Amino acid sequence: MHFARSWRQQSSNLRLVGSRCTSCGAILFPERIRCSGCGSTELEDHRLSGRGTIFTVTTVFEAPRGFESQVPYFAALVELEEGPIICAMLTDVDREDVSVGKKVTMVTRRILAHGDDGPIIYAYKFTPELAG
Amino acid sequence: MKPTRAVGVIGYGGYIPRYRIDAAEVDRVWRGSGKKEGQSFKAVPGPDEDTTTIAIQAARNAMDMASIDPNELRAVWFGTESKPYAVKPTSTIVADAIGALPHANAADWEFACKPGTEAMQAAIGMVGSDMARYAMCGGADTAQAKPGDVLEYTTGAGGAAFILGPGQESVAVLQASTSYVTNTTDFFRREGQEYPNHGQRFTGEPAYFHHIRSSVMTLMEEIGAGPGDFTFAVFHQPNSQFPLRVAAELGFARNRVEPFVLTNLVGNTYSGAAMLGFAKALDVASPGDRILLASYGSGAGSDAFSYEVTDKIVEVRKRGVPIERYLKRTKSVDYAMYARYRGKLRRN
Amino acid sequence: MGDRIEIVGIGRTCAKERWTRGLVDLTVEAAGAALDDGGDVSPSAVIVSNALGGALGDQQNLGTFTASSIGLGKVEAHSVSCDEASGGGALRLASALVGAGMHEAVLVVGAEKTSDALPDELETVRANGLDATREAGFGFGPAVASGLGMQRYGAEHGIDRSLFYHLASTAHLHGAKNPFAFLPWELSFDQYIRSPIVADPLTVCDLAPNCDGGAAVLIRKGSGKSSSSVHILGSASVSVPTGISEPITSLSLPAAAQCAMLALRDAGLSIEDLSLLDLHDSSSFIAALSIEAVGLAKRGEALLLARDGHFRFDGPAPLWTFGGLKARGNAPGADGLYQVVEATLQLRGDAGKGQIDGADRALVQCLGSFGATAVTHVLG
Repeated sequence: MHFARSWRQQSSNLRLVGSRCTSCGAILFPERIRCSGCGSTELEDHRLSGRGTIFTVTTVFEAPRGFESQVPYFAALVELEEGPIICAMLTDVDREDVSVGKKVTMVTRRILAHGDDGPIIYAYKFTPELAG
Repeated sequence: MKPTRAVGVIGYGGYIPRYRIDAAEVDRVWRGSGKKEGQSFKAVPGPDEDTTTIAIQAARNAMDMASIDPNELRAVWFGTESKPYAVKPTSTIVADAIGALPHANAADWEFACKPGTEAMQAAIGMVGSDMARYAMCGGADTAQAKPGDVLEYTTGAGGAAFILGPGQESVAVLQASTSYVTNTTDFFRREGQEYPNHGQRFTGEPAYFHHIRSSVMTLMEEIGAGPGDFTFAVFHQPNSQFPLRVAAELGFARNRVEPFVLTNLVGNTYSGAAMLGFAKALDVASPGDRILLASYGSGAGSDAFSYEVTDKIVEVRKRGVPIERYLKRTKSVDYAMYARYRGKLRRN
Repeated sequence: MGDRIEIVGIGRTCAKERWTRGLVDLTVEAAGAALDDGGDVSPSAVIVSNALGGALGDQQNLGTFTASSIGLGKVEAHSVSCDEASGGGALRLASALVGAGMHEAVLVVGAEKTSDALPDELETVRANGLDATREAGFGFGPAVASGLGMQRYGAEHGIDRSLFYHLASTAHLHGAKNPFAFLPWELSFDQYIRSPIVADPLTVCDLAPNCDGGAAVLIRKGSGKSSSSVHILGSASVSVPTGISEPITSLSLPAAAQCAMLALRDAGLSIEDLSLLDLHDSSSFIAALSIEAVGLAKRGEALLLARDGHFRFDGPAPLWTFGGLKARGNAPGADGLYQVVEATLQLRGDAGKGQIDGADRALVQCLGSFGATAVTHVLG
């Protein structure tokens, strides 16, 4: 059970807060304490829009411990409109509706619950935009 | 009851999970298929959803519509009877997700199916007294039912959120609100128990009907209005019959009530039920319409509200997500998948 | 590299499920074999490589505990951990100790005990070799990453997934000749194609099986040009920015490419001079990119060359001559040292049924963290 670990990650998990380097302009996700591009420590919080496209996706049938209740799940690389590519699951979608290049938006879901009595990790997943 | 300063809804949003199970499928499993298929459905939360995630999406939709700085919210209050954490507020997670922390009050409310409207009254008080410019309230549930119980035919999942603010910014301005509460144990869930118990027919006349009738009649008396003065009326909806019957008893025309009874489409969403119906009414209302909202919570009580829709609704609601979109977004699951998604299969 | 490092002793355990052996037993078994092989050379330092033991609740400070269990007395002892590149990393550091004149002889031991963990638990711990927070924490493990990679590789190069069979079948063809291999049998196309999907399109047969194992190498400063002894002719290690998205988006392994180039340059050799290679094949995807990274194949052509028998024992560039991770088995902390032990056997002419005739130069490369860490050794 890790109380502080998930607590530290909440702003990125729930609000996609990353960093913007005021020296080189790089947009980084998740938040950094030092720019991985230019080494500057002049970073400001930068909230990403949560809009992106599927870069590549796979259906996972054998999961690491803790994710078995979601099998089969879609694990994707999502390219955010600000640039960063992040690893995230897709949700509320069927295989036939998942394709490279499809537009997706961020939603917050239960990613992992530590047993029946541990903390619940809420974080980002992505889903196709709701049909009008 | 009404605040000294005009208060109203400045934005709202709802959320309904994607999965649906047909009540006939529940019947097939427990009674050997007596029911007709396709008559009524209930929304089933996916394996990664719970009350918190439902509340977060409803809150985000409300924020998108209201288009305000989340730091101006002084309260984020959600009501539910299916808290993922028994101790630790759901509302702090919701408030964090929409960026409203830390200068906000956040708390979970509980009163069976009506904590969301209680929070609404409190938010009205907070904004109406000028303690806050904006306050968010909402109700969400992944409604529990004992497998095989009559409740299991209707318990759904969903929620809605409302942001209260100054009357001049509102899409619907409050006229008045009342509460009618007694000590009546018609439905409850004991600490540590997974499923609620209910008093069958005792949940009807002395509970649901008596309390809603009382709160609504008090409200109409207070503002000097009759059923004919309301364009739409939204009632708590544990099933599809109760709201229509109480509407008839109170003298509301069926066609002003029925479009907002979502039970056959999404089931009884407990704390979300009346609030989702209200959101649906705001989705179709025109400026000048008057809407009655009456919740019911076992234990027991009813909160009633009268709102008048303003000109702003036409433009403002374009920024939101109509409830209809979630009603249309469905994927059917059988009882086995429902049991899996709802964690009803023992794996240890 | 100034003075050559000489490999004077080697040892390995069977790479199987060793139910009667614990983690320290495996290091002792492999180390003992290397010491026996090394004759009267006595190490004054021990470096032990292991990737997962601590996280799996097993022995920590493995260097000291191994030294103690072998009965080496008073020695310097360390543990090295850099995911599946640990074995290579340990040998690099041991070579540095010798090269710096701090020790005459150093014993390098790698071991992993995977069979004590249940598969899902093991996958969770292995996933932490990727970004523990942003990848492992979101349900992405090495298998998921390779599934995504295969997906992209197939789409980008217009390649059907069935072509990946030829990588696994090459490894198995060679593994069948290795009595120490975990899966010492040839893999039929039918077996491959009917293998259960783990992360579409990646199947069980695209993944190296986890096993228990230990491998050890005893090194000392080169004593001259003895034609019978094996030396480290060149080596390098390169780490690049982490993240599974880099190999998947670029379909390349920059660390592996740079590292192989530097090691060959250090040895004063080019890839054509090599008699055999061993590259990291923890999955079909990583294997394909490794082949392309070191320059054995052009981009997108690794599978075609494999299909044409290019990497077979009788082909122009023999690869995984003891079965690689795919057939010999993947014991993460020992991987890099198995490669060195097996290459040494080839160069000594002791490789048995899998012997490559006239083998005199070998390149071995192990990777960690989905290719972000690379360690290469050139032996001869």
